[in-house]
Amino acid sequence: MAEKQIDNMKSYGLMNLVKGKTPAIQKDPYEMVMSWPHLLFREVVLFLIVLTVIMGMSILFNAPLEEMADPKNTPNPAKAPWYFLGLQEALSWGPPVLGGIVFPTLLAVLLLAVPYLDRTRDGIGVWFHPKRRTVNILFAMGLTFWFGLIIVGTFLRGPSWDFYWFWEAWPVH
Amino acid sequence: MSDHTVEPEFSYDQFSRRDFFTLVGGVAMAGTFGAALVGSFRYMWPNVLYEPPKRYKIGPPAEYPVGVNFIADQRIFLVRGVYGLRDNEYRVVSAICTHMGCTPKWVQKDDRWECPCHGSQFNTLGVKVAGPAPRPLPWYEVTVGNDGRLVVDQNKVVTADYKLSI
Amino acid sequence: MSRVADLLFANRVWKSVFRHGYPSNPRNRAEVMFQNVFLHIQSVKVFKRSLKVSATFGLGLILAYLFLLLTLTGFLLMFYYVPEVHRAYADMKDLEFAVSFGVVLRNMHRWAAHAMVLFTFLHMARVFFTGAYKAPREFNWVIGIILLIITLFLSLSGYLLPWDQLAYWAITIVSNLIRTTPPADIMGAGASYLVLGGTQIGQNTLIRFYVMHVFGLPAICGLLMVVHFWRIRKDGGLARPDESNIPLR
Ligand code: HEM
Ligand code: FES
Repeated sequence: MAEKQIDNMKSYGLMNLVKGKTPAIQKDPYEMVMSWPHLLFREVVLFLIVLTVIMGMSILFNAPLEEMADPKNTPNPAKAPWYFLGLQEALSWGPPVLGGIVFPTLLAVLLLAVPYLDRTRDGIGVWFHPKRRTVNILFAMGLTFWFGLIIVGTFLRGPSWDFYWFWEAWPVH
Repeated sequence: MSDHTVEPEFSYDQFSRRDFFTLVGGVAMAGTFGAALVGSFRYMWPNVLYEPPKRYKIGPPAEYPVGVNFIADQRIFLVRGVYGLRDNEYRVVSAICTHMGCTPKWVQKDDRWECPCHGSQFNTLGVKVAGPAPRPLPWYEVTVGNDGRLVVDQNKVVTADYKLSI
Repeated sequence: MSRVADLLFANRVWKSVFRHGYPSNPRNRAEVMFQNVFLHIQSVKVFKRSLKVSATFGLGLILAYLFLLLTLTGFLLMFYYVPEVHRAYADMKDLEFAVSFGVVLRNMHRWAAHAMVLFTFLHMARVFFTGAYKAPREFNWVIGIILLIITLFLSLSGYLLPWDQLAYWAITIVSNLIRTTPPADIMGAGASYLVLGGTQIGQNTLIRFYVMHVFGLPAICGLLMVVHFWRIRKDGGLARPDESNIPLR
């Protein structure tokens, strides 16, 4: 009876056919484990960590709330949220179309195109694979530039968007 | 079950009755969705605005002292009696930076406006002397209304040598 | 003990809900993954190496959890916050000082939002530095970039809602930025008119940002996240080194 039941239950299905070597040929079989409980347990633990950290932070630190919006009075300096300060910094360099529209659009298009520009098969799933040194350095330079702009915009710009070092005090009006 | 519904072999040469209806249906569907999409965009474009008017009255001329006066509610500067003007002469300049729209501050000791956002500076003619602002600050027509108060018309941009003499 | 377990899991009600017994044997452990619509987005088995912390640092999952927390806290904030220019700021103050746990909820919503932007960048960096965007995962990278952009828009639209000085001037800068899109007289002016709902920041702007923030963008973001996860499964799980031997299709 029990046997028959199992026979009738299909425990697999054909999804699609792909070209490629089967794991058994000249290779160790893939090492796999059941998602339940191995993956799901980790997922629940990570959720608890995220929840605890965010809740803890929220109990300790209050989110900023400034004075009510006042079109007559621009705070000096007026800063966007930190993740846009890189753009605001770029904006202060030249024509706004370049810093504010062309520069971010190019950046987005470049990022979207990444997998279609790099068609090599090197270093999939390996951190900092030596064969990928050039592209990794390029990407790291891009990230450094972006976060460098953010740091300049956040910490090194004072009243009237003038440049001040970390240790320089802002003039008081 | 029934074999009389077997599809005929496909051929590019024949444009069958079924092809015709498929085409009509497809076009009708695309048209409907397209129109709904365009209509939704048009819907998002307000026809009536409840915004303050561009032509408005401020106080009587005598209310403003000689110098550069910031009129906060309308975001303009009223210049009286300085930088080439006599005490009975007035000009009005926008207090909205032509760069990204912050409110520049008048800095008396340097005789210029400074914008807090990206550091644009404008001289007494409203012309940019530093920073990223693309255009000078615009000057607006200012006249005297029939009740003796000043009337500013932001629809009428005037040159920097325009002035109202009373 | 097993008596209690039988009572809980081997009864008709449990079966009617889950369609299988408690996942303590391999078959039920497989069934739990594909009988459950929420778990089914993940495969029944995972590669051992994908479970290692160093494989992903859990960054993508952290993002999904932050999104979940933002949805829940946002849902609760909506009960007190009214998107009206004379009320919005006062409502924020009420949340801080007059509503029980209001300040914690607001803080959670704000800090989770900041964290989400930060972790999106970190996750993108991890995907790049592990070469995980290569075929067949190209399109999941593209979805990821769209998610990054939507995350930024979500943060920005939320930034206006408290109607404080930070909010007002950030939106001033952004709307004037939009106005410079070439050709500025047609595209720029038109786009900024649409975004502001007029020619200046006001009530129309606030309600537009509010609707996008609480419905439009989260809906798109949630949908794309589902596609993102589904594609991880369909692309054969997380990127693995042995895939480098499989030539490009
Ligand atoms: C809202 C934002 C996002 C969420 C919730 C999200 C979620 C996830 C999750 C849960 C994974 C599984 C692996 C892991 O935890 O790292 C993953 C993998 C992946 N993500 Fe994202 N992601 C987001 C944004 C992005 C971005 C910005 C990119 C890149 C531009 C991206 C590209 C990818 C790719 C290519 C994979 C597959 C990686 C592999 O196979 O090793 N995702 N994502
Ligand atoms: S807004 Fe005045 S300089 Fe940018």
